[in-house]
Amino acid sequence: MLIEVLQQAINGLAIGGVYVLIALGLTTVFGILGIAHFAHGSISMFGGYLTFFLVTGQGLPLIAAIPIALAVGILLGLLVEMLAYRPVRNANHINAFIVALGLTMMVEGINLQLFGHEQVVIPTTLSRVFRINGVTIPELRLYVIIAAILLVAAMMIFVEKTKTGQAIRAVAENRDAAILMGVNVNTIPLIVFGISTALGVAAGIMVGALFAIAPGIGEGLVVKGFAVLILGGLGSFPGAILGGTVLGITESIAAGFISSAYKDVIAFVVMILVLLVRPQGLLGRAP
Amino acid sequence: MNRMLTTLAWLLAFAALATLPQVLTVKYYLHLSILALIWVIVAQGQNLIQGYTGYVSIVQAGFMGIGAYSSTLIGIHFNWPIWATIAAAPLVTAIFALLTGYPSLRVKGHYFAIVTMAFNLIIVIVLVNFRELTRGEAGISNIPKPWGGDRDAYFYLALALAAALTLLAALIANSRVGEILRAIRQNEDLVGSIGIAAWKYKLFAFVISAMYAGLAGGSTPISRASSIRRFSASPNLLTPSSPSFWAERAPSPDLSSAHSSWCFCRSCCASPTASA
Repeated sequence: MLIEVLQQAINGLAIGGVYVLIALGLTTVFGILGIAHFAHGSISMFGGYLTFFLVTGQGLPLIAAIPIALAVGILLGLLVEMLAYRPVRNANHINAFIVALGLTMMVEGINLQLFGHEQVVIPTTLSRVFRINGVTIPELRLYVIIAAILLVAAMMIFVEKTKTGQAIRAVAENRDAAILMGVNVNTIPLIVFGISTALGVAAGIMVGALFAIAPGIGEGLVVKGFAVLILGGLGSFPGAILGGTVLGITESIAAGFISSAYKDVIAFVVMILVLLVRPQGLLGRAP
Repeated sequence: MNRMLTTLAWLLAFAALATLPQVLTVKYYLHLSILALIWVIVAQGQNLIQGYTGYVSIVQAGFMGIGAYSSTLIGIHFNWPIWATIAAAPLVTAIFALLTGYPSLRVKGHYFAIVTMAFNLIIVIVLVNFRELTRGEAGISNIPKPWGGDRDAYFYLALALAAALTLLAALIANSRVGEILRAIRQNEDLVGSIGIAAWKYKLFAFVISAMYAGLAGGSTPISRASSIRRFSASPNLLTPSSPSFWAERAPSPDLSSAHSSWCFCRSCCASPTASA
C-alpha cells in the first residue's frame, strides 16, 4: 500500500512539475501585466509540436531540438508581447482579456494548420526503468522531474537574485514607483514574456514526451495552471510551486486509487476544499 | 410620462416579437429566434450574479447542462408532461447551485471565477463519464417533442418565458434585494458592516441565476426536438459537449456594470468591490 502511494506520488511529481512550469509562466505574466494569459497553454503546445517536428521531421536528436524549441519559445514570447498585448497595455483591462481569448483561438488554429490534428508523442530513447525498494521510476519521468526542479530553481534565482529579477518584482509590486526608480517598463514585459513562454515550451515538451500532444490539450493545461495559481495563492512564487506539486500528486493518487476518469474532478474538489479552509490559497497573503 | 413611454416601448417590442412566427417564412430563422430567446433567459440570470452582484460566474453553462439533462431524463424516465419537466429543471439546478454556491462564494474576484470554472469542468466531466445516466458522449436521442413538434407553439412558450423572466429579473433588481446586491458589488465590506448578512444575498443571486440557466437549459433540448425534426433528418441529440459549446457562447451581459469584476489588473482586484 505504502509502496503504491509512493509510486503514485512519484508519477504525480512529474505531472506536478509540468503544472508548476505552466503556473510560473502564468503567475509572472499576471503579476507584471495583470492579464490572464489564456494562450499560454496553446503556445506551450506549439513548442511541444515544434520539438516533435524537429525530431521526427528533420531528424535532429532530441538534445538539439529542445534548445531550438526553447529559443523559438523566447522569440514567440517577445512577439506575443509586442504584437498582441503591448497595443492594449494602457487600455481597459477587458481588452487584454479579449486579446488573450482571441490569441488562444489563433494559436490553436495555427497548431492545427501546421501540425495537423493527429495526436503526437515526442519519441525518446529514455526507456530504462529504475527500481528502488519496489518503487519503479521510469528514466524519462526522473529526467522530467529533475529538469523541472532545475528550471524552477533557475527561475527563482533569476527573480530573487539578479537585478533584472529585482526590476520584475518591483514592477509587480508597484508599477509607478518602479518607473520612477528608472526601471524600463518597455523591456520588463518583453523579458517576462520571453522567459514565461520558454518555461511554457519546456512544459509542452515534457507533456509531449510523457503523454501526448493533441489539439485542445493546451487549453486544459492552462485551466490547470490557473487552478494551481489559485490553490497556491495568486501572485506567490512558492505558492505556485507547492500548488502545482499538490495538484499533480492529488491527481495521480486519485487516478491510481479512485478513478482515472474522475481524476480531474477529484483534483478540482481538493482545490475547492483548500479554498474553503484558506480562501487566500495555500501560501497567499491574507487580504 | 417618461415611464409610460418606456412601458409602451417594451409592449411594442413584445408585440413585434409575438408576430415573428407569422412574418418569418424561413423556419430556420424561427429556430434561431427560439435560441435567441433562450439566451435572453440565460443572460438575465447571468446579469443578476455578474452584473448586479459583481461575481463573475463561469459555471452558468454547466447549470444549463444540468437543466437540459434533468428535464430530458425526467421526461424520458418518468413520462412527465413537458411543462412539468421544464418546471423541474430549475428546481434540480437550484439544488446543485446551493451545493456549489456555498463553497464558491466564500472566495472573491479571480478566485471565485476559477472555482466556478472548476465546477463547470466537474459538471462536464461527470456528464461525459456517468454513462449509465447520460449515455456519455453518445448523447440522448429521441427527446419527447411537445405539441407534435410545432415550432410556432414552442416560439410562444420561449417568448412567454423570456418575457416573464425578464420582468422577474427587473423586479428583483429594483427591489430591496436588488439594492443590496448592487451594494455588495460596490463595497461588500460596507454591506457587512451595517449588519446585512451579505452571504445570504450572494447565495440568493447565485441560486436564482443558476435557476435561470437551468430553466433555459431545460427548454433547449425540446426546442431542438421540435425544430430539427422537420429541418433535417438527424436525430435530436443532447450530448455532454453541449455545456462546453454553450460556455463559448455564454453571454457576459451588462459589461459596463460588471466591469469591476472583469478587470484583471492587480490594483483593482486586490479589492474588487472597491473600484466600482
